[in-house]
Amino acid sequence: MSDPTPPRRGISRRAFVAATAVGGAGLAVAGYSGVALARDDLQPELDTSAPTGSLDPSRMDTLLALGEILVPDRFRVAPTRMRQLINEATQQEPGVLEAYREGAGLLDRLSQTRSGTAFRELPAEARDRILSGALWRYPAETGDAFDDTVTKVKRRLERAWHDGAHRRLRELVVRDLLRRMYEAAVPSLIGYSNLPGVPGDPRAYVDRPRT
Amino acid sequence: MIHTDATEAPIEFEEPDVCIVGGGIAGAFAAWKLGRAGIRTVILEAGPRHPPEEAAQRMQRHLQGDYPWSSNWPERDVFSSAGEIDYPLNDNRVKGVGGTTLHWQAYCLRFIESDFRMRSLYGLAEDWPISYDELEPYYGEAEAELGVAGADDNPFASHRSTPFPLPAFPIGYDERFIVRAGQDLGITFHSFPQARTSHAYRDRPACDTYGVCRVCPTRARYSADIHVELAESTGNVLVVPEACVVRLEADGNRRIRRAIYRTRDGEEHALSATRFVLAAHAVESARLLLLSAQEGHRDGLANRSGAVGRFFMEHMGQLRAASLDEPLYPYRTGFVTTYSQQFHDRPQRDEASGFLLRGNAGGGRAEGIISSETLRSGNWGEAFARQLETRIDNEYGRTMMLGSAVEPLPSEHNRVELDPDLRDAFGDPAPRLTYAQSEYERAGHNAADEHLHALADALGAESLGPAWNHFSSHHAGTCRMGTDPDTSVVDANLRAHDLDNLYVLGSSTFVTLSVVNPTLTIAGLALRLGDHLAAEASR
Repeated sequence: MSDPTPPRRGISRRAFVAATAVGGAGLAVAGYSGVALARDDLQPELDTSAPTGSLDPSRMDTLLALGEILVPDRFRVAPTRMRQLINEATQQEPGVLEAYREGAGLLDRLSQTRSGTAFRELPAEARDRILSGALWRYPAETGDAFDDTVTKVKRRLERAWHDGAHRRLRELVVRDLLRRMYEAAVPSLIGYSNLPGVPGDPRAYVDRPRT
Repeated sequence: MIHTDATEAPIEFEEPDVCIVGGGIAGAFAAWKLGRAGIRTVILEAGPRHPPEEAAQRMQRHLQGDYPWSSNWPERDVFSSAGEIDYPLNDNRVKGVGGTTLHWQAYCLRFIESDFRMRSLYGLAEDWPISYDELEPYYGEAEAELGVAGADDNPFASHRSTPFPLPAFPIGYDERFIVRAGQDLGITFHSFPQARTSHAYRDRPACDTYGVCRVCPTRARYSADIHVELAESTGNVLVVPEACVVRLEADGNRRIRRAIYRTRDGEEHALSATRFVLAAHAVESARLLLLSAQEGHRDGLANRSGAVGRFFMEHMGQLRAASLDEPLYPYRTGFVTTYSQQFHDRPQRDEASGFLLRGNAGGGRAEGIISSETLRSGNWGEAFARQLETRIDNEYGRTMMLGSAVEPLPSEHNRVELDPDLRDAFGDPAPRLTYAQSEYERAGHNAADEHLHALADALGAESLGPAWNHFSSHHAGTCRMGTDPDTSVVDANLRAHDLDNLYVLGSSTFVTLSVVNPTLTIAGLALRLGDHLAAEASR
């Protein structure tokens, strides 16, 4: 006695076509992004031959308004300190002035197109929507294999997808300001009353910091 | 005429009683003693003055990751390495008024009695021609001048006749972990004496824990420019900065006649004196003697023994990073408050070097996590803040740096020579360093490493990183003292065997290097020489 022949598992023609299309598109995008990522111009870098100097007041205000949505209140430095951070960067590091100018200009253009007003004039929620429309949001890797793969793909696709101005906004303005603002906020981030370079309570080091 | 930055010399210095080459702690302490005794003294210092007003700016450079004491004349400070180790001579060497104490960590440990008797006790190296007991009063005087904070709680230290001038710094929160781990293992940790003000001392304020001790903006951490200023205030001491001595000239009668020095403008100058003290650092002192080869001294001055430049010693340390599961809150001070000297003079010292142990919080700084997170994340606002806080909570400040340091032995193969192929800014041969670690040191490192692993286990460390070896910039041994002119350069009073008016001062005269930091011994020897020269001059 022989075993009954198992029913044949078929795939509909429609499903096959859809799968092929999706797979092909995926391969095309992956291929494009892979090739594109290999090109130097997708990793923006500061033009270190550009002059240093100060931002004009309106662009400075645009970046201050950007800073307000990048960092929440509890870690945000005072506006005067933020202004000082930006000035130090543009005046001392070649290429930063140009990158900040371009980034502020892009935000204002996007804001004008969408809301008919300058970025710095918008309420915080509207500014956040403008930025979310310009740049993709994705978390950092967490150690979860699937999530992290998705994150990496998003990061690569965003670079391949965006034009140079958006890539420079992401890398040379948003990431740069985030880093500078949080570095200025390290004491509150790690719960210390003072950092190296600033005098503190000479006996505080013998106890846990008061967080 | 002496070239000087002083607008008006207070006294006639055309031919001083004493010319000191080098304005670091050795030269500063000797000059201070001599000035107080009314002896006219000139310090010729190769480097510039570093005014205290510049400290804040220098501190900012340090905070930004720059080396704040980089040479202002790198062409003058060239060197080369031969042998198996590419020796980083300029990493922690400061040329300037105050010398390397402008940059040091200010740990002030005394040698112990056995350090002076390695030959007698262990059959190793040579004995010093002086004993701990002879140096002990000068250790106490040096501690008073440096303002050393310490406690008499170290059962492994040799006897002392005077208390520490300042109380010890309390043990830090992070270091209490290592103290407890040591207790579990039978390892005693105790206070770490240091020239740093636990309370206001003389004209120096109490330490405010700026946490950037490599450039102390308040002088709470001692630097030898303090004693240069005190020496100058006697009215008997003149300091000539940026005066680089390029050779010493001897007469035919066992005496140095004059020092030839060059200034940045290329001019050559000469200074005659009754006595000369060479206190120019273990590399440069030896090099200057070699550069001064002349008629009657073909192998260099004071080099009848051939020992000038040989027996170069240095402390090599080892660090391992242990990952703990609770925060240690690092970088709240720039100094360490405890260590263990328990294994300095262990019974196996005839076969493997003794060692020191310590452990304090370290690891990556918060700025590193911030930088990494901004590159990885595509978020901002509250979402980014929460991600960053989580990473800081999980990763920041949980690293305990476990460290050890071992004792080298003098080897004639470890040496400073003149490089025939490399010239400095003056066209003179640059120093060439040959340094190799000995089996004796390696055996000490291995023994210390067993204790580092045990401490990591006792701390409950999740992992222990690879060993990282580092030099300590404790250069020594190149003009060693001894009773035998055929094997040493200077006698017990630091006078050259071959020349009646030349003294060598500093760690270059050390016979052995012990396992502890050398500066307090340099300071003690300088005060002792100051007394000796003052007594000699008064006769």
